[in-house]
Amino acid sequence: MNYKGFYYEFQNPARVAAGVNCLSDSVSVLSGLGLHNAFFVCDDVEKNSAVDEVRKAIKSAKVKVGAMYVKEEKIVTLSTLREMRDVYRVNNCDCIVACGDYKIVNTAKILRMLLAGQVVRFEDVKGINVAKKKVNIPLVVVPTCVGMSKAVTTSALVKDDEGSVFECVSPLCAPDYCIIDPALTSVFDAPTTIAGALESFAMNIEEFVSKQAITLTKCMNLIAIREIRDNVFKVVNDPMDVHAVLGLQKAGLLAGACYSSASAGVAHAIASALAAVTGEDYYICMGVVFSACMKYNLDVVEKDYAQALYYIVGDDRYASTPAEDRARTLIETSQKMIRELFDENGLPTSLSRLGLKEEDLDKAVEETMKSYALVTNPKNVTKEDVYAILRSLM
Amino acid sequence: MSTFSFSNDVKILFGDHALDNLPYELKEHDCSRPLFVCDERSYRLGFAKEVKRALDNDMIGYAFFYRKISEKASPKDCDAIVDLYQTYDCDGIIALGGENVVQSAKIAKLMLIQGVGDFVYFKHKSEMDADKGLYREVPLFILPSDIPSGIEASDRAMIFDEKNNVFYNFNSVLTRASAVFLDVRLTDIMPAKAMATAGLGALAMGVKGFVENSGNPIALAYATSAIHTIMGELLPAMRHNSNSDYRISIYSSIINAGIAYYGIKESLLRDIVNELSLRTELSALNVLSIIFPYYYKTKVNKDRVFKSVLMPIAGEEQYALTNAKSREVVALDKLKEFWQKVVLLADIPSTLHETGIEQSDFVKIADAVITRYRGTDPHNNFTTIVHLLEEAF
Repeated sequence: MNYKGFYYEFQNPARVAAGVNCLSDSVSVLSGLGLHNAFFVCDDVEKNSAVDEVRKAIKSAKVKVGAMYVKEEKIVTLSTLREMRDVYRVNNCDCIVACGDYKIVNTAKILRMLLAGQVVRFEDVKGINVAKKKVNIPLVVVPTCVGMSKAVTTSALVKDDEGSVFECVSPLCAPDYCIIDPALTSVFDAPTTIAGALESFAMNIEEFVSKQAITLTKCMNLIAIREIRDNVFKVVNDPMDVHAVLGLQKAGLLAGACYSSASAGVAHAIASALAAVTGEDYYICMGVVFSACMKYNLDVVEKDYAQALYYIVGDDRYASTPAEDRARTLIETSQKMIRELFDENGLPTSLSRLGLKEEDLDKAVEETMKSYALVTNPKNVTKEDVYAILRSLM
Repeated sequence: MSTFSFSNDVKILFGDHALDNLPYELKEHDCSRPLFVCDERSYRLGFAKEVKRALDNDMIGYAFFYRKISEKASPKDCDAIVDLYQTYDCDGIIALGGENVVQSAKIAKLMLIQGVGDFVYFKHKSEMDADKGLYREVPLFILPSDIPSGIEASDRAMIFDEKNNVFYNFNSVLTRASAVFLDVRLTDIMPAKAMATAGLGALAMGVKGFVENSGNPIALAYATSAIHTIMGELLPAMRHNSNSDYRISIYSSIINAGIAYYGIKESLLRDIVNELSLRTELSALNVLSIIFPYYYKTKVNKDRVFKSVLMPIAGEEQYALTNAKSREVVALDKLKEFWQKVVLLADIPSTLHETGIEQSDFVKIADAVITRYRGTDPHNNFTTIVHLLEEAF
């Protein structure tokens, strides 16, 4: 053990309530947050039955819906944010409630950061902790899909006017209250559910081996990985199994809680870049690149991978796998699980199926190299490494 | 169905340069006129100077420096903090010291937010669960300079009013710190005995937190990390007690264990520990280090969740190789073995008898605990308490 020069910070700013029907139990907390006139952000109201439930709950908490904003963008753009800001102000809203998948939650987080920091030029908030809190604008999020490792993080993505995606990191991005109710989760869309679950699996593994991981975050990651192992196939077989859905949501929540402290790694960096370049969901991109990135890091994190194997395969297989084979077994098992689930659900497993062309490679590499996640990857990542990983997946 | 809620946004800053971030955190909370409170010990050992230096480096001042917090926190200390805070128009509190400073500052914060100027008004309100009063913020920055108690990053604050013989146990988000700083520069060499009792106390909090939070993955992770660290690092920390790395690592695990342990809503064990702590003048961690193995023994074979505790105690390899039916017993054996090793090495008390508690007091103790206990578990009754005390005697 050597802590010389070692320093870490850990904070989980969001208050979390999780469980079946916890939305109705959350009314008293909502009342205590000082919400009056909510700016309600959601996706397709027709498809998302949770919207009504959330509206009812906030009404019970004596909160008015001052304005409702329904729009779905894969990554929110600055022009949408400008529009949202104006609607928010015109309607004198004083808080934000978001109900939807990760895109909606991401949008609400970045909007809150801009409003609470009273940011004039959106371009000014690129980077880490740039926006400072000037006014209190409570943010409540109700994620409606599994995975959602980003729901409680202090980061959010935004696309600028030139189409480049950048990440904002600020405590202002983290919600004040996150309600995870599997009864409100839309699990009918199997591919999204599977991609979400596997993305939170990938994030947990990346955080677990991150240079900035600490014992506390590592424990969270291992608990999350076990939840995924126990529940992912149950949800595939029975999407209405609320216990299993909650298990997957817990895993996403834990990944999110660790993200601000441990950050992620090369897979996250490449997946974010691919999402920007191809326009495909980040979740799906993560599934495509993850196994190759695990292999890339193997030589420096063998011990960690070996430990994580237990949480994927359980007692018997872990005990019967020779210690020296455990790390490799983790990679093989993960790869098999991702491939099977992606294939069964018609999700892409290669970059070409993702829509990435040879001529897009340079842009994807360039975007990857901008990511902060590379700093915390256990291995120093070069441009050549990223090219090699991407080419192996073409 | 495992339903849970978790709320703890205390920022924990740990490591070599944690203190250097104090000015940044003050600014983040718009705090430019903090009240700086500490105890005589922290002042004499030069820790207050270190904090002042960190503030000076960023040209941040404080509204008032108060170093007269008593060795044992009392309502008087809380009143003094509230009074100074208002007199000097402060906008935050920096609390440097041991449990005495931490408890007083947390309760003073609660008083300020509730608009209570005098502790006497808290009478008959020993179990507050106030979620109101959020209209006013009192940022609180805790800098432990002694072995932490585990309460630092929790929503709990406790104080004994000797004058009126009342024990106050506050459970409110309003006592919560904004940030806790664990910096090597604010710690001193700890005798192996003190490290051993605190470490075992933290292990007890961790195991209790682990068992009670099986459905709450976040609290479970805090407990797991504390158990894991204590099992791996307490013995080296005792053997090399001048090594600040080990020391601060144990301190950090106490804080993590405290988040899991004090997050449990009702706990008979905690009530027993508090009562014994009051009667013996031993810290809660100290009492836990004595009583917990006996408590744990009474639970094995009754509470199946104890079998999972083998994982953080012994690691994945041992867990996987142990027959599922034997895990509980193996966990108990491992724990006992570790406990005995630490007790022998540090020569610390392992029975209540050694602390000066009289067996004839058990009825009174059990009576006081059961009166205070708010839980609904029918197994937690007068007889259970007496039985545990007798076992631990």
